[in-house]
Formats: sequence, C-alpha cells, structure tokens
Amino acid sequence: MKVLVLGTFPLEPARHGGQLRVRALVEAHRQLGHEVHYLAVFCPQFYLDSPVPPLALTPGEATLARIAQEPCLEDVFIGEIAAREPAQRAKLLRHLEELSPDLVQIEQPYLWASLRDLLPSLKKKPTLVYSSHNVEHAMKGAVYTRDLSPERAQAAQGQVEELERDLTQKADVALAVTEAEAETLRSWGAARVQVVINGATLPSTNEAALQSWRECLRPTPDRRWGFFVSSAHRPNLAGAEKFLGPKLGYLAPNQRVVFAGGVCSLLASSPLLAALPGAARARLTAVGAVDDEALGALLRLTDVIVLPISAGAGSNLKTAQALLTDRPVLATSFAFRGFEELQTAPGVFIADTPEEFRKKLGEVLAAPSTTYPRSAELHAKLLWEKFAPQKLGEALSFLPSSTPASSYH
Amino acid sequence: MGTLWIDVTDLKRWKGPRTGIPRVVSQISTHLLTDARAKPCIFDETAGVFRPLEAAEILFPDVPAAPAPAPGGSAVVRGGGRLKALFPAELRDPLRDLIFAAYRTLRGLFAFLKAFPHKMFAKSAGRPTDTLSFQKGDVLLALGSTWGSRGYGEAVWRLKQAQGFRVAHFIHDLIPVRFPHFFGPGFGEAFQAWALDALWISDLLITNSERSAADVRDVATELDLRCPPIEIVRLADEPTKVEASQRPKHPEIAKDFVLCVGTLEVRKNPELAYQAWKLLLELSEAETPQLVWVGSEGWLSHDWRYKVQQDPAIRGKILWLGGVSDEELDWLYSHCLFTIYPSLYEGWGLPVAESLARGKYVVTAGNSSMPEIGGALADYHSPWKAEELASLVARAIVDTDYRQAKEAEIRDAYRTTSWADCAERVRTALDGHLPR
Repeated sequence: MKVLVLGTFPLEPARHGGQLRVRALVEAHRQLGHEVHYLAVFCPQFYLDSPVPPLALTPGEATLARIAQEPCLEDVFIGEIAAREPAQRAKLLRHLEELSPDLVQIEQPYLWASLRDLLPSLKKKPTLVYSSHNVEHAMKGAVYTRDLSPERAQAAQGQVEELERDLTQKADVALAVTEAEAETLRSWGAARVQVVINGATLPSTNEAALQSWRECLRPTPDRRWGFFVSSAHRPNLAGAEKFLGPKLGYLAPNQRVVFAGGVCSLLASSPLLAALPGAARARLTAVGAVDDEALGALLRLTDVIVLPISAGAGSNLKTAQALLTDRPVLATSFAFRGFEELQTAPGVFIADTPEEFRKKLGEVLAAPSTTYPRSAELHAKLLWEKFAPQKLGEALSFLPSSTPASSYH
Repeated sequence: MGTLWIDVTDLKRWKGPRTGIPRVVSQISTHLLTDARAKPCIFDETAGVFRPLEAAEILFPDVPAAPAPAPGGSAVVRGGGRLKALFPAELRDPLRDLIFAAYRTLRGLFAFLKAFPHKMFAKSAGRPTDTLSFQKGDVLLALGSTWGSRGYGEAVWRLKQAQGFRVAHFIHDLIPVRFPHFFGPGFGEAFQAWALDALWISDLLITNSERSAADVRDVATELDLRCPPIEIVRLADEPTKVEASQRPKHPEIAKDFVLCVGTLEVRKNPELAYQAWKLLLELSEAETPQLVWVGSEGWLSHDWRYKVQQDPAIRGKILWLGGVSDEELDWLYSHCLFTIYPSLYEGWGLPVAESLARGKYVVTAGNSSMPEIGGALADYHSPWKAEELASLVARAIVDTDYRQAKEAEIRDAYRTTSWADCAERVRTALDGHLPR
C-alpha cells in the first residue's frame, strides 16, 4: 500500500513531540509493509537546522507576511497554503497525482484546509486518515486568547474547530492520542477511532557525551540537578514557571534545575529570571537545544526528571520518555494523561500543587541519588516500536488487504 | 566545647597593607583569636575545603612597606574594598602592637614561626595541605569578601551537611544586589548568586548597620527564603594612629579645601559633587574652596575624571588624589574645612564616621545608612539634588560660627568605636546565637 503522510513540519531532526509522533507513525507504516512518503508543508525559517526534504511545500511571501503579523496562527496559515497560493496548490496537486497514494494521512487538522478541495478531484480516491494529536482547538484557545484580540481569538479558535470536526467526519479513520480524546472524536461523528498513545524512544548516547555533560553539570560530587526538557511551546514554560518557580531560591546551594530544548529561548522574558536574575541563574542552567546524543546523556545523568505540565491536550511524549529511564520522575498527574496507570511505577512522584512540587523536588535532590529500574513490560507499553505498528494495523484493519478505497467524497 | 574557626581567606589573598574589608577581617580576627578556642582557617576554592592556619601566619605577615604617595596614581590608595586597593600597613591597634613587638623580639628564637608559614605563603597558590574537619559545635565565622571565592556557598553547604557545624556570616552590604548598575557588567548578578548562597548557609548574619540588615531581610523576602537572625555590629571608626601627619606632595592642594574620602566610583556620586561645585563657582569663584576627593579609582569613574580634568570652569577647584597614605590622610582630615559624602547608597559609610571621629563637620547624603552614623551631628542632602549639597556647603563656608558650633557638638557627643569594641560585639553576637 502506498501511503502519503502530510504534516506541518519536517521530521528530521525530530525535536518536538509532534515530530517524534509523526516519525514513529511513519516508521510504523513501514513496519506494516507500506510504501510511505512524507510531505512536509512548513516554514524553513522556523526549522533552520532541518534540510528541506525533497517532498515539501514552503510558503510564499503572502503567507509569510500573514505569519509575521500573527505568529501564533502559523499552523493555520500554513494549512491554507494551497487555498491561497495558486503555485503551491498546483505543486500539491502534482505531488498527489504523481504519487497516487492509496492512503492519505493528515497530521493535525490544519492541512485539511488545503486538501479538502483537492482530494475529491483525484482520479484515485485514497483512504483518508486523520491523525489527531490533540483536541486542537481547545489547546490553541489559550494561546490565541493570550496573543490575539478577543474577537480574533474566538474566530481563529472556531476556524480550527471547524477544520478538525470536518476532517474527523470525513476521515475513514481517526487516530487519537488518549481515550478521552477518542471520545471527543466519536462525539463529532468519527467513523472509526483508534487510540495510538504517545510512546517514546530513549535516545542513545555514548561515553564521551556522558563524560562531557557530567563534567559540565556536576562539577562537584554533591551537585544535584533536576532536568526539564521542552520545545519552545509557551504553555510548557508556563507549567515550569508555575510548578518550579517563579522563584528558585528554595533550591539549596548544591541543587539546580537544568532546562534543555527550545524552551530555553523563551527564558529571557520568563518570570523565572525576572527578580534577582543572578540568583535565579545560579539555580537554573539552560543548555539550549541539544541533539539526541546529548539528550540521551542528560536523561541518564539527571537526579530527577521533572514534568511540571498543567496545560495542553493529547499526552506527553516526555512522560513516556522519562519512564524509559531509570531516573526518578517528578510530575503532575496531568503529565500522565494517557499513562494514568503508570503513576504508580517505581520512582514516580506525583505533585499537583506548586508547593508540593517544589517541596518534593527539594526532597528528591536532597536525598541520596537513587535509580529505579523499570520493567520490560512497562517499556513495551512505552516504546513506539513495540506498540505503534500493531495499533496502526488495528486502525486500518477495516481496509481490504488489496485495494483500500475511501468512503469520503 | 566547639572551636570558632575564623575564615581569613581575604588576608591570605591580600597582597598589600590591609584596608577596607581586609582590615575588618584583620582587626576583628586579631581580637577574637586571643581566645584559645578560636582559630584561623582559609578556604581552598580549588578543593572546596577549608584549611587550618597557624594564627601567627595571619597575625604577623610580612606586610610590604607602603609605596611613596603618587598624586593621581593608584599605588597606595584608600577605600575601595572590592577593588583590592592598596593601603599602608596598619598594625596599629594597641593590643596588636604589643603582641607584634613581642613577636619581633622572639622571632629569632622561634624562626620556624616565621620561616615555615612564610614559605607556605610564598607559594602564591601555595596552601596548607591539611584539610579542616569541622566538629559538631564548631562555628565558622566568615568576615570577609566570600563572594570572591568560587563555589564558597556550595562547599560550605556540603560541609555543613556532612559535619554539622554552624556558620556566622558578616554581610558588609548587599548594594550590588539592589544596584547592579553601580558596578561593572556581570558583577551584580554574580553578587546576587552569592547572596542567595549566603542566606542558605548562614545560621547568624552580622551586618554593620540597620540599613544593611533591612536590605538583607528584603532580599530574603524577595527570594522567598527564611532570613537567619541578624545582629548589627557597628564598625570601628577610631582614627588611625600615625607617627606624623604628612602633607601630600601635591602642589595643587589649596589652603582652603573640603575633603571627600571614598573610592572614585559612580556609587559615591562624584557627579553630584561636580555639579554642586559648578553651582558654587557660578556664585563666587573666590569664595568656593577646593574639593579634594581622596580614593582609589573604581567602577565607572573614567568619564567623571576626564570631565573634571578638562572642564575649564573647574580650574583646579576639584582635585582627585588617587594615592594617599595614612599619614597624608591624617593631614588632610586635620586641615580640611569640613567633609562631604554625597554617596548614592552605603551599607555603612565609614568616611562619615571617620570624619565625626576626627571632630570634623560632615555634609552627607541622607540616604541608606548615613543617618545612622551621623544622627543630628551631620547635615544631610538628597543624593539627587546638587542645589541642596551646594547650599549646605555654602553655609558651612560662609557661616563659620555654624560650622564651629557643629564641630563642638561633634566633639561633645560623638562616641568613637574601637576595633576592640567591634570585635567584642561580634563575640557577644556569636555567644548569644551560636553558643559553643
């Protein structure tokens, strides 16, 4: 079966949760024996370290100007690329016709704005899969409300909701991240829904990286540090600010929190560094974006992985990733959406108020360093490669094995 | 019975005669070390441990002689504790002089007391190899500029956790926390980090003024930290004893001059003095005395110095002396009309106290800790209003009766504090809060 997966970001290098999920789903298709192509529709300016893949659409000046004016609507504007840019519409149509996929899988709802007119015009009608990552409009609501006028925020949120409801209804099957979101998709009229929870991989590393990060972050044997990794997604930082901060003076002289990932680029304007920034920086170390090798080292070296997550939709790959290590995990119960039963796994500490969270962080960092080897059974639940092909196969089981056909029109 | 370990790292590092914070460390520790249960130690930042010292190493170092004063130079300067200014040897406390004399007499007989420690000092990085292991019940007294020791807070915290001793920390001020813009790039932030650790590791804080104590409490609140108990110990202001006053070898010193003693840095507010003198000169060049500013060159002062040197309207009416010995300072205090101190902020404000201790009328900025020192004996102005400073200076120049009346009042009412008093108050604070 020939599969075309479309998303609003490149897959390499995969840094944020969306990239990691799509990369895992693409790999799951391959493991099912499908010929998979990934078409990225994205702004290269926002992914400077990603080469533009051969199968890609990039926006022209008109779309870039819209993004510059309302950056929080980047996904929406990218999704409308074919509807607004004739050249890109022609290019997308050409890709669809040349590839002639049996199955089209749309990651997140945004590209539906460009595809809903094009797909019916194809000679061969592919099976349509909506790969939902969140109840998108609910998650974006908070971002739009913060960054846009009330009227504009409401309109934008309504636009996203219309897209995801329409796509859910038109798709032959919808993939959801959690059972709760599957229920939402069903309530919108989804024909079929399959839950494919977020899994993770534990990035490999090597002794040189371990040694280098050990020397950098543990200059004295008694230095202890908690680890927070996140993309430059403001709600993630808001969680860290709420549960770790806003002041970091509660951390003892030998205790630190280490931030990694795109979130570090948001710190300059964060309340975490607002008052007495020198004192805050004495407790917060920001290492910036790191490659997989470094991430693997940091996840293995930290004294506790912190998941101060209090907003968002879907589930968090970071939670799954944390549980694949043998390090203590300090998290909100919200961070375990989709992994609720794993809150009782060894070395997992749940704290749902900022006071409890900070207190527990101090306690874990003050206690002797402890590791919590987790079971192979737990790993099987969390590793993408262990469960994603099976779940995806179940999702597509309604298709005849030879020539899948779509019911949408 | 626990031991009082006095951290004298500043003295180990100090390359010249002791002034500023090293003088505080030297004088207080000299007195406290007369107690057999008190011992000196230094912090080895490379190893993150403390090392015990022989008391003699600290009490009787071979202090280099003061270089000859150099007008406008910086070889021998006063003030500027954070800038490692040099200053003539002091060894002037009577008790210390006595011990010193005895030591000099006996040094031939106890050559090892001189040679062995001296050799240890001679290795510039050279440090004793013993590692100090604190006992439960011990107290570590940090009197100096511990912010200059990399990893100090973390190391003390680690050692406290393992060895169970207690820490008393002298906080000279938190000015770089509150006013990072008075200092060079990065210093304020580094100081904030140090302040956070100081609050964490300390069981008792000692400050030199109510103002500094309030600043410490404010910073603790801002950091959401419990503030340890604070004791306020007034620093000594007894005039330095010199064998003979000496007029600075600077031909431009006028007959009538007003003295300002303080590191030449933006925080000391030389700009206000410049503006006030400009106003006075506009009113009457003939009646305006010279302003002699005595102090080492410090943070962010270059522009001011250039302006004063190049401004034709000043014409020698403001003179900066960057290198002044104790003997010369004594002469300057004796011969000045009065003193000014326009500082934007102080933790203590020693020049105000020194002026009063020498019976000299002082016009000072009325902020931070200065009113604690001067009370009703000084006159105060806003550190932002040159007109106010100019007005007070003009009155002090013109109305000699007023000035003399103030001087009489000062002589009657001002009580100097000796280093012995100061050390005794530290001892009392330690005994009260951290009994051993």
